Amino acid sequence: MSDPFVHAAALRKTYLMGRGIVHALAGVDLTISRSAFAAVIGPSGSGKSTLLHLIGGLDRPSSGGVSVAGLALDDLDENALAAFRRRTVGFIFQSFNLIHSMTALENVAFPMQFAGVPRRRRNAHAFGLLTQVGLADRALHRPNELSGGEQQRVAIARALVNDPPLVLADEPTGNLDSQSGGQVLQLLSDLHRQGRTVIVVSHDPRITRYAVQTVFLLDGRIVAEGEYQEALALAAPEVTLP
Amino acid sequence: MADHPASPTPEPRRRLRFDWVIPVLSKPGAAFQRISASPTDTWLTPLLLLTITALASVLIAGPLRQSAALLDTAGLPPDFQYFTPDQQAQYMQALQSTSSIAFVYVLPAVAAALKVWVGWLALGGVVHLILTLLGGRVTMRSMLNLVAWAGLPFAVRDLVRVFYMLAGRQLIHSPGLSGFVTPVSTGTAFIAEVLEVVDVYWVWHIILLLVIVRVSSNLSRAKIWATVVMAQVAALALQAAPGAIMQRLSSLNIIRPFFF
Repeated sequence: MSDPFVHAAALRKTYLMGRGIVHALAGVDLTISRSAFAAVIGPSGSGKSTLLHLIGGLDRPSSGGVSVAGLALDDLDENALAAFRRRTVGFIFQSFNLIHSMTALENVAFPMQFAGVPRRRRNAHAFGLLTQVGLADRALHRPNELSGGEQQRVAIARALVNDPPLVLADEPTGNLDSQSGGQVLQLLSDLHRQGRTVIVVSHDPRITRYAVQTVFLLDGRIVAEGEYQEALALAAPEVTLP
Repeated sequence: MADHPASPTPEPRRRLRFDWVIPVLSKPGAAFQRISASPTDTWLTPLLLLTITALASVLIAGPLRQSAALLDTAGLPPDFQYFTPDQQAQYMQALQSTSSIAFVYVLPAVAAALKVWVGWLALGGVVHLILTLLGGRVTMRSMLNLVAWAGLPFAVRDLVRVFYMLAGRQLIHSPGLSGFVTPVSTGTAFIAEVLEVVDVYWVWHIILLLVIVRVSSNLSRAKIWATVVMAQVAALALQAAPGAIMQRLSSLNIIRPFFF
């Protein structure tokens, strides 16, 4: 595989649920190359979102390690991890995670204020990104005045605001109708074509049109990996696909 | 008939002496001589002015603080975008509760008034104590009168702040020299609290303290400076301590819920 960008080794994550222990990830080894479009699929509770959170530095593994762009995330303290998230990663969530008291423009500009960008430049850049996702005329609307698809496009613009080389999307079409979902997947594909590494957790079968690498997760383990058809064949006995 | 020398016109025995405000600020030497010689307690006038201006500052800052709490993104944590919608809603709810009347007006007003009155008693007591230890013979009553008047620059500061907030429609962030240590971490909280007080009005207040110590005692220049410096160190520490303690307490991480 050429130029590995994301590398996970023996990654484990366990949660304490009441008196029991849940193994969300039970030893994942994964390499995703630079500028790849990878899809992580699998049934609910298979550890897809956990894997994404660990790659993005939103959570820490119980054991094993993750490195992104040569940076071992385990070695970073909380401040360094926050800086890593700000500079390297753009997150897109199923529920959009927009701040409801802010307009679309303010939501997009929000992460830049922690990078010390002056307000005027923040707004100009945010407006440029909203234009890119086709929402220039909705810049001054608040999230509750936007449709689900528009909210997700605002979230994509926000994810790009610090120009991250890695975009992580957790079920980005999960709350959208078919047409809006298609637009969002197209936008993610555009980001991939621009040279970014895109990792998408999704149940949406259309993701296979865009993904160059597919990872099947089951019970916290990778059961198959490769191109979609190849991985499907490998995983077929164990995974029921959409 | 023998000529009697004309006796000086006695000072009227009034407790409220607003006519002394301008002289204290413009010609402090003569004004403090007069205050020192006054048989009446005159501390009420400056303390009233200090309380009124401090309360005005709280009142004007109130609406700005309320809107800032709800709209100003500067108060949101850097990772707020990663919070789930539920977490965001809970955070905003908590933020809104801190923008209630009690948090925005009542508590700051009580704190501001307490700062004026307790600060006056503490500083007056400390200056009197140090002066006595260094050989000065000034009464506590006289010192409390003088120290109250020496606080007037802070009333001017509050007025300037009120005008700034009214004109600019924005809060004053990092007052004094505290901007040098922002963002405030728990380690620098005390220093930030001290530096908040340090500005041109504080220097003016120090000058007035030097004048009152000189007027009310016959101590050497070195002892006058020593008195004022020691009193100010104590006063700054007293003023900064509550804020620093609050800052430390508010940044504590609760690692497990109580009782479980």
